[in-house]
Amino acid sequence: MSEELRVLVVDDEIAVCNSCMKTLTREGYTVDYSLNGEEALKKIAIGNYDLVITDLKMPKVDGMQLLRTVKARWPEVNVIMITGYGTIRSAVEAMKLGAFDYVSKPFTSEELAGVTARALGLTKLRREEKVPILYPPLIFDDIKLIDLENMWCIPEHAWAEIRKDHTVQIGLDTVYRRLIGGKIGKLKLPQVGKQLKQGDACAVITVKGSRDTDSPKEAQHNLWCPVSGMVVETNKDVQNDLSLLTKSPYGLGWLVRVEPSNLEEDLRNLIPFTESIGGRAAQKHFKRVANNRD
Amino acid sequence: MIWMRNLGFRLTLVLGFVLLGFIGLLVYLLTVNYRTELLNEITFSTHRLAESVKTGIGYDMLNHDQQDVHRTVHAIGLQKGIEKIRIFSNVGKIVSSSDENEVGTIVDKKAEACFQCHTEETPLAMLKPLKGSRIFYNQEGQRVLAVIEVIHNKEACANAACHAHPAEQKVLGVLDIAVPLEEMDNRLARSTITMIIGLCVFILSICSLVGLLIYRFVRKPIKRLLEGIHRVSTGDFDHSIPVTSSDEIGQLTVAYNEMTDKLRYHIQKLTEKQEQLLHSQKLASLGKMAAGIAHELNSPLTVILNDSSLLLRDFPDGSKEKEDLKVIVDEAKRCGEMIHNLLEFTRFETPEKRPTNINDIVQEAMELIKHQAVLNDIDVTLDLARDLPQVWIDSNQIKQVFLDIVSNAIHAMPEGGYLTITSNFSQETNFLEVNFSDTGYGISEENISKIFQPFFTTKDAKSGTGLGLAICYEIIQTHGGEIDVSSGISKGTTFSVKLPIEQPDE
Repeated sequence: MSEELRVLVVDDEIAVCNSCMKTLTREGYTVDYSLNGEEALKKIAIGNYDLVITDLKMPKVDGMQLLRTVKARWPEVNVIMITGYGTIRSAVEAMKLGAFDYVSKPFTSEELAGVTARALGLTKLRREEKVPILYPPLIFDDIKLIDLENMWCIPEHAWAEIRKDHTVQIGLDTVYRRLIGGKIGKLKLPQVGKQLKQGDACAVITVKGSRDTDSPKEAQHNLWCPVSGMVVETNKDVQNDLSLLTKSPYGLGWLVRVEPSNLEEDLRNLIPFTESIGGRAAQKHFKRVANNRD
Repeated sequence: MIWMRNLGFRLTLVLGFVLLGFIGLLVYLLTVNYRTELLNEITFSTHRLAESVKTGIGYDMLNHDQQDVHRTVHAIGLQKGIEKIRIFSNVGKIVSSSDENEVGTIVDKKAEACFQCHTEETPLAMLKPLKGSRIFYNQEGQRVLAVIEVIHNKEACANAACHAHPAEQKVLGVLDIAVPLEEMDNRLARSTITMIIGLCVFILSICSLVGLLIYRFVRKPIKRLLEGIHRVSTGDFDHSIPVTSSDEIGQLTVAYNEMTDKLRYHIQKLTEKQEQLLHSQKLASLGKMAAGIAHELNSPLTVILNDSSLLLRDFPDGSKEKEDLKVIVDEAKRCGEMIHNLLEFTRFETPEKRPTNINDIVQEAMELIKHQAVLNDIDVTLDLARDLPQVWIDSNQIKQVFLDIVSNAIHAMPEGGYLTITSNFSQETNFLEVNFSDTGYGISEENISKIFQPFFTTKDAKSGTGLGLAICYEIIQTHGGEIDVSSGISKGTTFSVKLPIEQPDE
């Protein structure tokens, strides 16, 4: 039914490669591994891979270099970074440079399955030329609620809106939601008062197995926080009505609000929301709405 | 020789020599003067004697009583104190003498007895008294003073019955009296020796006295100072020297004591700073090592977690294997959390301190957590003192600490309770104090000493703000403050945060 989806795992420790391979093979993908960046590039050149999952810290050719090279030579190949706690900042930066997402060690097989599913979901949509599905819904009365000029984002992942009271409202991107696919089982948000750093998980979405054989049996999706700060409020409404995430991901479906502690530096790792897929669509939509008014 | 380098010795020596020089000179001059005076005195008296003798034998000479003259001369010559007495005629013939052997001899004009008057072509008729005296050594080698008295041709002599001397003859002859100077010399010698001895004793006494004074007022205090300085150079700053005078040495002692005090203070501060630096360096390297280990641990942990979570799916719900694997998964996740916390702990940032009103921070923290408190049915009372002095803190970090403490308090009262927060300032310790008291289930005695240790927790690792009390402790320490806890099972808990008022050095 689904065409072969080919994944290459790159990590300098073979145990990690094997472990990842075990999980991904179970998900039905064709997996291979490399122990270093140079070998990986050679394999990618001839191997026709759809997804590269690479560790950030490797000797000689490290993850960032690999990312840049892959994106330059084979832009349609998605790259997922594997990061440890200390390199999360680099991972966020990697997303700005074109990485699809990252997964933080130590991760469960559900986390790995989740992020891989999203990445390969995008690949599939591209193949089937169904990418427009990702665009935001036409029903968009968020115009009253969002301020496009003060919105930033981790592209196709999470957005951050700097409000007038200097707190930052955060939520997930519509592309992210659509790539999760299926029904969300559980949404877990952090406690008020929790200190988050840029790149920490600010929401955890669990998806139970669905009848759709294309989606994973059990997956966990982490939403990485675009800005550092202390959580001052979480959205109770969205907990009660998860459909808000689909219907109004940038408005009513916001997830957390933080009091930022390092805004200036954090913004360097983000792109303006209007440069992302969701942002561009929103801009177009708002223009249309404005024109319709006149 | 060491004692020669002694300041006191040198000073005394110099003093001795100077005194010797000056007083010696004085003594010498006095002695010379004395001797001259004495000699003059004797010369004068010998002159007077000569005059007396001349007058005495004048009558006999007028009467041409030569026998009487001889007798007189002889008798006088025998007296103690007279060496010799003789009369010369105007041609140099000794006409009378106490030494009978000389009588009748003629003396050469050039002889020492004669030259005073006979140096020139025409002999002098008159002699100044001193000029008429001379000193010479007699045959026995003794010193002798001789005085010449001129016998003038008076009217009475020229007109005398014997017609011995014509009127044109001015000078009839010369009376020569010699007196021994031996006694005078002896006396002088004795006197000189006495003076010299006196001088030496005098100089020695003065030098000793000065030496003693120098020892008491200079050497001893200087020795004490030297000793003090030696002590300081070996690191003993507790030594102080009693100040016994207000002179320069006393001032020096005062200055020394002050210097030692300051040195002790500054070296103590330096040592403290050095220890702090070493401590933070140790922490930094420990932190680096911990971070390194943590990173290394992440990879094998990933394999464990990934594989076991995968394996978990293979077993049916409720089966023993699934349960066991769940434990493995949970524990592996916990390891991950611990590593995460450890890395967060070691990546601790230096606080950016700014003057802040502590009550504002308390209120900001409460603002964030108040609905959680309300949710848990906790009654919060704020009793914050007014007009508290500003304190130099990093607001974010201190706010985190307060949040953490309040969060712990809320968790300690799952059924609800009371939370009281107070703030005040202690004048005597110069510290600001913020107290958090709850009516929760308290901390047991065995745990209370451990609560600030990293990773120590009595509750589920997922709750709380993510910063352990260990980080709170570290934050407060870096601010130069203290954090204490007092508690008892079922008695509630009070956390006390103390922060210093003074501005940090750097």
